[in-house]
Amino acid sequence: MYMQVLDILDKIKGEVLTKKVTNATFDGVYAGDLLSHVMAHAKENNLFLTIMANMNAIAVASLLDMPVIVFAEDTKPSSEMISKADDEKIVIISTKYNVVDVIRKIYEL
Amino acid sequence: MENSGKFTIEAMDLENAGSVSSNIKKTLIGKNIPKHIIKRVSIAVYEAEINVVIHSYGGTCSYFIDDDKIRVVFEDTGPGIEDIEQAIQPGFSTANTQAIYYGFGAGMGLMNIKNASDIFNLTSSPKGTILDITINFN
Ligand SMILES: Nc1ncnc2c1ncn2[C@@H]1O[C@H](COP(=O)(O)OP(=O)(O)O)[C@@H](O)[C@H]1O
Ligand SMILES: [Mg+2]
Repeated sequence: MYMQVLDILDKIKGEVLTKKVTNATFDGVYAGDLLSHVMAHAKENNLFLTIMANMNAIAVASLLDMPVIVFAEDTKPSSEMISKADDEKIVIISTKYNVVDVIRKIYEL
Repeated sequence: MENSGKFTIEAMDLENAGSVSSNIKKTLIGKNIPKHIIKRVSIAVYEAEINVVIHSYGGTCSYFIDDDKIRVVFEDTGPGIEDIEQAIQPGFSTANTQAIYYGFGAGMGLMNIKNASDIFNLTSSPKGTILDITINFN
């Protein structure tokens, strides 16, 4: 089921760090930090939820066509990462919540 | 769009890792290859590229595209894989702490590559490792 990024922002107290967001959508969440597991199991259009704030997170999201990355627990992507994500039309969001709380809040569990 | 190409891959260049796979993915999108095939190529090429970055002294990636398949060959200059059978086992990894800090070293890479490929050939000596994979388009 597709969800609007704008609809989850308040719930997860997310800060959008990239430009594009207005009509971005995603279909399901994949949470993980080990990139080989992400490569093997994440699906196209998933929201990628991680604490792995380095360039490789953008590379993996781009390769798998994941439109949104949420960096949990206040992990902060660099400005290089943000401009790379803008190039790849990926939305980057930062939140203070941990991975479990982000999932709870997205799905209102 | 090119039907073949060659890239250099630097050892331990962890910030730029992924540029080879990104490049090949874009080439395949330009050729209207089906999405599920592009995904398999992306997974295999990314994992192989990362292996050259984190486990070798550096190397190259060459690709060759036909009407019905892509062949990708990774060659590096060592130190090689001691026991290939063991290296392919899920979970086996000799990744160093820096690579692990970047999210690598799950020990799943070679198995991901094998699962994504139609032909998988891995040979190695202390002088270097050659990974030669082919993915069919149908
Ligand atoms: N190009 C290479 N050169 C040397 N050793 C390699 C190479 N590729 C893989 N290996 C060895 O095989 C192991 C398993 O590789 P892989 O399944 O990709 O897992 P990971 O990269 O997460 O360690 C590595 O930890 C390493 O010991
Ligand atoms: Mg690997």
